[in-house]
Amino acid sequence: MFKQFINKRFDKWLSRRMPATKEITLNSGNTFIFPSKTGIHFLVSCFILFLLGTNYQNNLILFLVFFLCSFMITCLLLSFKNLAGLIIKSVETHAQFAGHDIQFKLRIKHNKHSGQDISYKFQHASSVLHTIVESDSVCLYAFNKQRGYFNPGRVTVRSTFPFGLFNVWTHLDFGLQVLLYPKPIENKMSLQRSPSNLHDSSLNQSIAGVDQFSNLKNYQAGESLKSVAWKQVAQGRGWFSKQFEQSAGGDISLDIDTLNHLPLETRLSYICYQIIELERTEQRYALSLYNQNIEVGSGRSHQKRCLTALALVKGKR
Amino acid sequence: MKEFLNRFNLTLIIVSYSAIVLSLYAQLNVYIIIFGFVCALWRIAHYYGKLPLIQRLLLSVIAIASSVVTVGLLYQHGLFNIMLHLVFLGFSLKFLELKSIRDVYFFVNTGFVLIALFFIFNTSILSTLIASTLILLLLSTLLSLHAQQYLNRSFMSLLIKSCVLSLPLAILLFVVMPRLPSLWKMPIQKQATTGLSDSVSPGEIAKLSRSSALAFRVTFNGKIAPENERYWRAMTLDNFDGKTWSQSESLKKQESMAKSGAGRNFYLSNKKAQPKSKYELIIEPHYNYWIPVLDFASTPNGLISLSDYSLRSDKPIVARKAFNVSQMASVSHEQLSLTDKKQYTQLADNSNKQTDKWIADNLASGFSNENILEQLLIGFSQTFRYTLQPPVLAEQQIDDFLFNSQAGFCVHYASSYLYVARRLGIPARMVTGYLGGEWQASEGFFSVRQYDAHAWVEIWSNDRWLRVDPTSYVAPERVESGLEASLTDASEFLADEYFSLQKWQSVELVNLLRGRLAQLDYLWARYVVNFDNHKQLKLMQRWLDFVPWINIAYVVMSAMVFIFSCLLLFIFKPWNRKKYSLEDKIYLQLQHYFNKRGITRSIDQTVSEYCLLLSANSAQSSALCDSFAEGYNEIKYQQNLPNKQYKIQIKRLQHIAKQLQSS
Repeated sequence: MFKQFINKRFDKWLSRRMPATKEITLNSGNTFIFPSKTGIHFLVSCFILFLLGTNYQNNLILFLVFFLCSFMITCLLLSFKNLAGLIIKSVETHAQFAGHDIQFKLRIKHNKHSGQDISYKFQHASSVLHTIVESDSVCLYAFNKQRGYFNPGRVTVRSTFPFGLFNVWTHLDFGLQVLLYPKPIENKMSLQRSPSNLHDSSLNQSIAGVDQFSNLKNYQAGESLKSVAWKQVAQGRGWFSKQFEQSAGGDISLDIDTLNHLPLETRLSYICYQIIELERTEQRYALSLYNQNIEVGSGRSHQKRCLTALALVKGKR
Repeated sequence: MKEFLNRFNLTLIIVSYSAIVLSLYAQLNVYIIIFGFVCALWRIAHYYGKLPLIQRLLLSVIAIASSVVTVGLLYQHGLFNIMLHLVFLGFSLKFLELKSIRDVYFFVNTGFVLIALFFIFNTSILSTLIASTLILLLLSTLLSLHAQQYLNRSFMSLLIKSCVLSLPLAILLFVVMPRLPSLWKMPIQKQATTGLSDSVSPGEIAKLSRSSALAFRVTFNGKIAPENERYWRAMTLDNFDGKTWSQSESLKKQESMAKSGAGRNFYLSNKKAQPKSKYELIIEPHYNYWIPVLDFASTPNGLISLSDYSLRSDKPIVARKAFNVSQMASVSHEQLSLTDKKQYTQLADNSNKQTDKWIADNLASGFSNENILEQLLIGFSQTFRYTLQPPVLAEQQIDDFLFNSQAGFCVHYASSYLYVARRLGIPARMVTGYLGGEWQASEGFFSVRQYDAHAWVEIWSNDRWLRVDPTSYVAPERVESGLEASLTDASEFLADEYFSLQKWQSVELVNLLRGRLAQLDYLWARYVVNFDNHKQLKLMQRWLDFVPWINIAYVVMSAMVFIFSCLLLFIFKPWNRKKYSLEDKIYLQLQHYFNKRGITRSIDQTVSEYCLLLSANSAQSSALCDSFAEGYNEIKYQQNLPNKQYKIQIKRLQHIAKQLQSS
């Protein structure tokens, strides 16, 4: 309880002292330095040595003690120097789907001899994946199930270089933010042709989403295994992939209100899946949400618009 | 389990472990060393995946069992040895559970404690060098955990740098930190005493004469005692059992009373008299109580003087120690009491008949006591031979020596002289100590070695103790120029030490080297190992005399601040923080010039953009501006520009910049 209170106060103080920025240069104003646990053990053993030296009246032991204490001070400066001057820049993260590990990238720049053995972590770790540190960049991973804008929080930069006696650390706020689309869930939702296209419905009687099989083509590596013509493979005629003809005429309208019996999040996930599928099969679709309608269209930017709209749907409260 | 150590880490750990074991080898029990190496081997096997680490429970069982065994093994060797071995045991057992970085830290910290214990045994400059190597090894173990990507060279340089940078502050602290007195009594190691023991039988001093180990060193302040006065008295022996001379019960009682604090001064030196000379003794540890002094020493602080004019320390001397002693010309003598007289004429029952007969014959022919003793000494100088390897004496030692073998060394002569004196009823006692010393000319001190050990006689005459050295009659060189000169057979000198530097005294270079080493070690002992509150005060006083208006506290504080700021400067090197290249300097200067004229560059503008801005807003021709941008970019982004080319281009850029600024 007490610890929680302290932590809260500390976070508040931090956000006042170090507001979010895209680029941070580490210096004495934004780093903290404390003796690490091992540093404290080191001091304790110094004290034991001091007692030994005093009780045996041995000057050389006392000199050893003074040397170790002085060494501690040198370490303080060296370990601060290792982090000081480190420039960290955040890199924009593209929107991703919820329920996956999200990669955040930071660019780092440091002198030749400093910046050794630094660990980067989110202050509140959410992913099990370890940070990948390269010479000029860092990849951090976070995890979130909620759609919408997600802020993974502060990045903890920490180092005990060179001798592990001091812990130099800081919690940096880069204002990291990523838009999370709803997690796609595979489904067989029945899709409706949009009313505007009803005039040529005579041509497309088939239920939308189940496309007409047209022909077989040589299979190429990288194509989805779902489209492989397994029958032909089994007959030993070689690898073919089934080509589907899409119904060019039928624009599809995705409506949030269609599956009213399901919870909102599930419906969003279903629609999300359908958008991905429709985009993959290059069909045209429109999206209507509670307070937002997106016109029929296709292509990457259209998909992005739709997914963004989905991500930002306000839950029923 | 995943191995967290790499090969380099483990190698360093094993190397530092072995080095520490090697340096403490003399103090450690062999079985425990073997056990330690088994632990180390186990860990190596685990590294290669051959053996598992030991479970926690089993480990505790092993730890307890081995501790019990250790205590059992070393029960008689005293608390100190048990402590040392338990620390060492913990150090070794850590190998079996070295499974996280924290364990390595524990390992290193224990290593520091062991180095401190090493310092208790060894304080010479050589062992200090050894210990500093050990410290470096331990620190590099720490560094290796954190600097895994570091190259070999930068690894070493970082290690050395951080150590060297720590030295100035450490030295300052060492000089100014006041030394506390012992907080509580610590156990001291029980170790066989070296040097003189409190009983002498022929053979003991001969054994010492085979050792070139340093006994103590002396610096005279002012007048140096002449050669024939350099009798360093350690103790007197007044009890004879026919073979061995030892201290009588009353003497022992007096000593133990003095040590327990019942009385510190058993004889009174004439306080008002000016000391004849002053000297500083630096005694090597001999694990005994005696302090060798010239006759007659005043009592320095912390020491006890006994009625036989010898000094004692109240604690055994286990570390190299320094004392300042004043030598007095005379002391006030007390009359011998009857019991004293009885003690000083005591002889063993089994008499040496031949000698007794010789005395009786002499007395019968009318010689006086003095005459008889003189005759004895003349006899020594005529037919006797000085040797460190005398034949073994028969049961009646004095008879056999005086009338049969006639060959021996100081104890034989002193012993037989004493026998005769006591038989004649003259109170007499044996004194043991050291004689002479080697003069280290360059530093001005005497080093007295174990082979300088000596025994002589004091007889009571004319109400005072008179020194007689029977050995000087048989081998006067022994007194004048040391043991080596007095031996007719040179191979007897240091017979056991084949590699001793002392044996090579005739070789010039070796002599020089030996002198230098001794001198360094002496300075080390005098100024570092024995730097105490007293010396500290003196040093500070000297500083104060130097600048009388300054407060010592401020001096110390400002020295610390100074060192710290030097450290800061040296580590962060602010002077090469912003190192502009030449082209950047020109560019900045150009910006500065136009800044004053109202054209400012915003941070995100490139050179080309900036030059466009210039040509748009000033009277400059756009061609000139463009050529500047082009020239700048060429220098900046061309790779592997030869130096000559670089200089030409810089000159051109400078020229363009000048033109831009001129109009």
